[in-house]
Amino acid sequence: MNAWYVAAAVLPAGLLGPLWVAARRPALDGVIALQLAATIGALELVVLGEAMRRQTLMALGLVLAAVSWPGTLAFLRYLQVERER
Amino acid sequence: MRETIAAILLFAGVALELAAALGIVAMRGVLQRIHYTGLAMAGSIPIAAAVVVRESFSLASLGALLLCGYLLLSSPVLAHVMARVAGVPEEEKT
Repeated sequence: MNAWYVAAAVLPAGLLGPLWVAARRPALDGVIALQLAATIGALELVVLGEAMRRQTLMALGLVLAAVSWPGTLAFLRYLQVERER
Repeated sequence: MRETIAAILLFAGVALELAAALGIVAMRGVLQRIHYTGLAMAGSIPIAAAVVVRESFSLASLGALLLCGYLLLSSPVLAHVMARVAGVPEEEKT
């Protein structure tokens, strides 16, 4: 087991905090937490891809980051419309 | 030697990500929590650097660099939009 596997095992612990905030705090705090979780998830895939030497996992991380950005923007737009009512 | 430098950079990045996750739980309010999305983005830099140090410039390191660049560009935009949606805090309105 090398350092990359250790890092890939430790990094998902960082998802617990954002997921707790997303579940227990107001909606806007939850969107921020989910964006952070997506960033950590994308980096986890990069680290895991490097550990296993599989570039498809790295591409998956890139796709996750690319997809989460417009998703978060859509959530924020929805929350803004809700607040303006 | 290369593996050691890569491991140091990697764990620096992981530490930054874990600090961001801890910060988002510890802080109160939207505007304070937004700061930690920036810290998570900063954590991607040493991780991408670790991949480049380990792999040199290859297809794998290109993926990590692309992800890092994408996060560097997209994260400030999202933070700006989040802050706009959050609006002015109650104490500043009075």
